[in-house]
Amino acid sequence: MGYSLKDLTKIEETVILAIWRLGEKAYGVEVRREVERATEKSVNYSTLYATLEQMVRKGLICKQFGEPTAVRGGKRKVFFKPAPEGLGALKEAFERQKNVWAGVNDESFKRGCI
Amino acid sequence: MTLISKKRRPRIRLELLAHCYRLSLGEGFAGDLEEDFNYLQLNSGNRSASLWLWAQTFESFPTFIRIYFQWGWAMMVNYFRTFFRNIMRYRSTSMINLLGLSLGMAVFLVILLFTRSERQFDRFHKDYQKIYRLVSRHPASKDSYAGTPAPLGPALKEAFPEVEDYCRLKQRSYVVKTTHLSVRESRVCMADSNFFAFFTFPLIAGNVNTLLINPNSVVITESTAKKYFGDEPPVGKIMNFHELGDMIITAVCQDLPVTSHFHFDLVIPFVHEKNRYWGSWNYKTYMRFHHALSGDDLKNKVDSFFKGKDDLEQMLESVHYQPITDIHFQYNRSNWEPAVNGQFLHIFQAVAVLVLLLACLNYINLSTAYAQRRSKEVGIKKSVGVTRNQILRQFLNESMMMAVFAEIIALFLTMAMLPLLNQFAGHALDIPWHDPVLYCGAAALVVIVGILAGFYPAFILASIKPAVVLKGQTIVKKRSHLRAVLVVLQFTASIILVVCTLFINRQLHFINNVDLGYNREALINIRLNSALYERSSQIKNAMLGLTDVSEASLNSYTANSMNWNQSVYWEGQTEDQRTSMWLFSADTDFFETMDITLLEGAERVLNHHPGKDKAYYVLNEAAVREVGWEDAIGRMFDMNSGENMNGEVIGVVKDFHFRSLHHTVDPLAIYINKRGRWLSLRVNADNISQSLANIARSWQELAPGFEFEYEFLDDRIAKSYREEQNLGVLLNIFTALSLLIACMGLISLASFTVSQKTKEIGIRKVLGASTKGIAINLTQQFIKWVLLANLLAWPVALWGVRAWLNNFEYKITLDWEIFLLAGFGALAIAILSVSIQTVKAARTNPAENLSYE
Repeated sequence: MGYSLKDLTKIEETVILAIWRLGEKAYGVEVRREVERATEKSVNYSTLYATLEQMVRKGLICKQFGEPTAVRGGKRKVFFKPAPEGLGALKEAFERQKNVWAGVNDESFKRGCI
Repeated sequence: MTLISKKRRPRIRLELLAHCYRLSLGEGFAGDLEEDFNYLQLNSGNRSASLWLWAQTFESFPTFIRIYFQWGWAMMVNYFRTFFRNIMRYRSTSMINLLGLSLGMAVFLVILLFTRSERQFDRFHKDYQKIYRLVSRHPASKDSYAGTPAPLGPALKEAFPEVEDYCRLKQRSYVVKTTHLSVRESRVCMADSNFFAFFTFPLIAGNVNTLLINPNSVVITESTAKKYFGDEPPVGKIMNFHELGDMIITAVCQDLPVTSHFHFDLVIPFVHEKNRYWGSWNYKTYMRFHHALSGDDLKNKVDSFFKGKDDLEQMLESVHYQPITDIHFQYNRSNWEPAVNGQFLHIFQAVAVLVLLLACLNYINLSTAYAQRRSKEVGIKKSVGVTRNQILRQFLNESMMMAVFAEIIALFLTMAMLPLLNQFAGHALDIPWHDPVLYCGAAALVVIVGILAGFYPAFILASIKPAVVLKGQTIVKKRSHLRAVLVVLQFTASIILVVCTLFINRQLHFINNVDLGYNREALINIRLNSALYERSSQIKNAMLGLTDVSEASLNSYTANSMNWNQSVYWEGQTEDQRTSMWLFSADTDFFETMDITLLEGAERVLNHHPGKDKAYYVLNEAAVREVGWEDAIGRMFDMNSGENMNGEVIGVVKDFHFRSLHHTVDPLAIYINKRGRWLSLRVNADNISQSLANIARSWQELAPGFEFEYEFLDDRIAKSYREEQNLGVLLNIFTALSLLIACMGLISLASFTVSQKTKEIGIRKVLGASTKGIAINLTQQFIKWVLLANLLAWPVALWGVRAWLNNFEYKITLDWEIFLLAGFGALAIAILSVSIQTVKAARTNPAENLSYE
């Protein structure tokens, strides 16, 4: 099987995992915080939103509008949730990672071999 | 969380940033951004929140720009490529489109430059809105006169605080001598010493405030300086003026712009003018007010000021204030340079718009006719998801590009045309390369033409249904009403132009050849210096001795520039008959020399020897009618000019056009005087240059030291119609160009129609139709259109021509033949251009046509 569009890129993987983990409250601000927390790096808005948009287009996640609030300047929240395709892709990635990283643990880096 | 007041919310920046990411998550993103911002504002304060927002903006902006322009550019490149491919593929249609547009634009540009320069007249003066010229309207004649008495200016300045300053001018000619040169300068201006402060004529050397204070000072223009002194510095040099003596050059001013209503070569102080009394209306008075005024206000004030001052009140009743910028547009018999009829400028602007419209119509017509060619491209683009708006934008882009190229060509055409026009029409037009208005105007023109010409075709192409065209069906209707309307409109406009041009040409021809009541051929007028006045009859008799001269007369008559009009009195005149008449003086040979018919008293006039005791007059028919005499001979008549001019009428002449044909023949009195300032000679017409040389030689003997200054009468008459002649030439050129544009459109439209009917023609021929029959069949439709255009054009043209002819008192009749001529001309041109295509099509072998595909 060759590389397909369904394969997740690193950033997609990170973002979709963050959304999955956040569950009900997964909207832009929270997603960004979660990603920053997990990766310990600051995330650029353009990167994050381009990724989100692309995943919506690919059908990996789906979006849903919330209620507008004053603190957001009267704008609605957009909540995200992994779509079945997204979860499938995650599973696939997870399986592949398991195989690829098989036998690797902290000790391996100290020893210098698996 | 607390609410944040609206003030602290950098709304614009937030919106801008959100706009930069116009993604499908737009709303969500904008909200998130704001929420983050609020959070930061609460925890870290306003300042750092604002800094954070700036950082976000700078971080994302380059990406946004790059993406935006990258794709925009890629699309533009694509549009360009398709545009050029299509131009190269359909060379002839594209060339016609391009040429039509560029011709239209070139005509538009030239006319715009022309009318712009005309409207710029006298606007180079500082505070030109505050400068007025005093003019008087004589109750007897309709036209105004700019001569005023010399004391009027100072009197007004003293009486009215509104008047800031005045300046009086008089133009005269002097023979000027320097060590190298002796020339009669006809453009010497006598002016008050504030002349250069009053008007804006920049100085090259000299001090504005002192240059005309000394009576012996003279200011010259740059080119006059060059003429007399070459490259030597002129200031301080001496020029000898005949009658005035040596004058010292105190300053040099720049040459005057063409857009000045008067021009001079030298300026001398006004103090040299001696006749400064109220009765001498010989000076132009300009006034500058502290602020621009309404003429009526001022008029009322001035009138009340002079009230009760006897003669002055009546005298000044007719004085009006004319804004300096109006002078160029209002005919005035004392103007130094001919005025332009403002109506003409409107005609030209109408022509400019019309021609541009014609070019646009051409483009619309051709592009819609040939829309079929692009339909597959549009079909495929649409079926892969290109939106209607994008297609619209693509084709609008194409017409804009076309307009850009057309504009470039138009600029070159204009550059090529301007020297010719300047030469023909005596203008000094130039493309103002340094003027930003040109570039803004050019850009605006491209956008306007691009949209005007391109919108409809783009709309048609954008509405193509891919399913229809990809199946191979045609989108262009065989009989399009729109196309018919456009062709009819084009021809209507062209026919209007042709009719107007024909009438204008005819009127100008009429003016040049009408029977003026005298013979203008081979008649020269020699100017006699005032020093020669006493010897004038001696010179005349000597000239009559030459074989080249058949007739001679001394007079003060200068055709078409009469300016002597004053109150006259006669035997039995009642109070309400008070009037003024035109006057000039002439000797008794005048009538034979000019071939003017004497209706009454011929014998007495021709054998008359004027006595010293009494004055004698000859009146024209109009004058006799005005007075109401049954029999004029022997009646008492008087022109009151201070001296004893009471005299007797000894003859009546047939009315002749002593002024230009813009005017009716007004009452005229000729005062018989055996001396004069002009010597009119009827010369041998067979060899005029030889005769002229002989006359010049004997002049040298008769009046040594005096310049031989002469002019041909017919030249002088032609000069007074110069403005009309020039405009006539321009109009001819533009009409020809507009016809060319219309024809180009018709030719290519005909070729389109023919290409649509290739098979029909083939089948008709197979079934036995003749070549002639087919050609006629194809041409019919165009003939119908042109005939309809004629019907529409005639009333409009009639209205326009009538309005223009109203400027003339003597005019041609509105012959219907001209309308027919223009109509048939247009028809013939249309048939000719269409039949080139149709005959070719009709003669092709049907086997070829039908085997196609």
